[in-house]
Amino acid sequence: MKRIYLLNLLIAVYTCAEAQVSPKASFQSINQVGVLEGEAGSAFQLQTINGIRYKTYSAGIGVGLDYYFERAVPVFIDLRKNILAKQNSPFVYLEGGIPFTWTKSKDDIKEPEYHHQLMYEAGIGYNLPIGKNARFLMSAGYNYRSFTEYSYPTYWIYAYPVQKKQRFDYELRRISIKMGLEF
Amino acid sequence: MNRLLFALSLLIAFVFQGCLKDSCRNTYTIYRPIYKKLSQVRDDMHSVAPKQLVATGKIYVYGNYIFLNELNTGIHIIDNTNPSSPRNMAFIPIPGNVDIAVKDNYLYADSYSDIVVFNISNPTDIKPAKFLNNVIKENGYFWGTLTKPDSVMILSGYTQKDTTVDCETYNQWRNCITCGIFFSASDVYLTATPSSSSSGGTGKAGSMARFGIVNNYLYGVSYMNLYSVDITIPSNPQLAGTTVVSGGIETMYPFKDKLFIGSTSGMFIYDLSNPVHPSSLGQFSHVRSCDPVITDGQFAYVTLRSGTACQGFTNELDVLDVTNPSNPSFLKKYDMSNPHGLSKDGDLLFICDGKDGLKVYDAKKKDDIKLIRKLDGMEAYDVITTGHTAIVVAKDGLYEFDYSNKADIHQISKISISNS
Repeated sequence: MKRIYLLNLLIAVYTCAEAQVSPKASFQSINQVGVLEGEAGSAFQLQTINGIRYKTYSAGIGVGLDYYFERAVPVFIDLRKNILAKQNSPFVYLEGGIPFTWTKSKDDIKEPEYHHQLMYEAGIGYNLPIGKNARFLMSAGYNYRSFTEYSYPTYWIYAYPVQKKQRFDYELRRISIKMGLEF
Repeated sequence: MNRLLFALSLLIAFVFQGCLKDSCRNTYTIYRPIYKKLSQVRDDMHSVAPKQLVATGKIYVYGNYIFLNELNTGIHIIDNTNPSSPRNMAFIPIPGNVDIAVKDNYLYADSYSDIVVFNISNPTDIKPAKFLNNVIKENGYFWGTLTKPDSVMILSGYTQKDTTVDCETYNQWRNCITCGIFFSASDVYLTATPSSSSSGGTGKAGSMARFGIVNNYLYGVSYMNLYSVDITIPSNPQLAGTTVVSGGIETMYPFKDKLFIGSTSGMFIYDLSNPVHPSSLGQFSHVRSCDPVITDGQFAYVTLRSGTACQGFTNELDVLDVTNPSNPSFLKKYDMSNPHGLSKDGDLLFICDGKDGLKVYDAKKKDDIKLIRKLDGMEAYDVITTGHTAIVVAKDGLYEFDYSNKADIHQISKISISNS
């Protein structure tokens, strides 16, 4: 009985909320900070996504900073869908793009090279309206990032240092928790 | 309901935990050494049919012939009677070979710690005349305490196999000595004094060489020692003396009665008044770098480059005044891209500037050398000038350039490396 009541309540809320969504496409900017949590520990992240919003859908292009394991600048496409057709609503999102590795200086004589860089993220979140045109949002998701590194580590043969090209294939799997503002 | 929610939460946490695992895979080539008896290897050390150039090393010119080292493998013999059409005519298999020197139709080649003497009177039928065992002891790990070639096993080749392992597993293998050794080049090099003759005398080596012939002595440097070998009887050389020089020795350039030695920390000048035990005369220090050096007697020209086993971040040409060899002084530096070997003929200075190709300078004014020609399209390593032809060994083969008219320096031939 309680379950039926709850379901009816959700349907009613959704129907009422439908009338509150603007039908026009409009510019949207999302700016967030957060953490990435995984086997390599916790790391800071931030991103800005700019695009358009139409009804309960939004799409944009994002760029950010990812300090997990190997620093990177992800450039990605962001797609979102509000579950409810109103200002405060849970949402789901999907991101995909290229995380450009931004290396710090290493001990190797030659700088490493990076190829096959890929990232994607999927998760859920919640919007809370702040004032007339802004919303506070928070989200949690699963983030995957992969890349291939060709590096030149130094080995010591007798008194001579020697470099030999090495290939490393990395796959990083993290929880991504973010919060920020949407305009 | 509460238990169901709790169990669902645990399940999600468990699944999520598995999904959060990072992974690292390392792909590399495993080299497994092939060992042979030294006596068996020596039986094979004679000229055979020509082989393709694969990994070009140092060059040496003697009369109408170019001897081109195939790194750690042997020597290509190239008939350069017609520089516009050089002919790869034979190959001498010499495991561990890096350097070459020639005097009076006898070729001296290193083979790891040994020195092998070849009679090259007939370039199509070259055979060893003598073996000097375990001279350059820095590479003497094959000999150890053994004294007979039949007892010694040396590295004569390797198999290679690409493999992928977890990064943690690979880190345990990084101390594999036998695998690591094969990545390195031999420490022993040979150079020759700058005079040439087709039927006698000595030939000419590049600036990257580490062997040198002065009068009746062959000199060779390892990373810390200078070896004097008496070649009064060219077919029967004898180790005469060993002089401790310094650490990080890389190249040697004999000039008249002196040796100019390049090291990671500077240039050293040694006097050969006592040919068995050369004495230190002067030195010039520089930042840590690999540095081949040449001289015309009044000035020394030293290239410093980055991105090497020597470490360092400098790329330049240093011109030093060595009029007083006891006190060489810095004159001027010139920025370069990634300079390697160099050679000088009169006022023309040839510099192999790595991927920036071969650069030719008018060096009449030492404090104001002028670039007069830049030849692109190759990663130049070392150069020998012969009076009208510049012979350049590059990553993709052996080039020759005609500079008889310095207003029209142009390529006249190339022997490419094999692409297979």
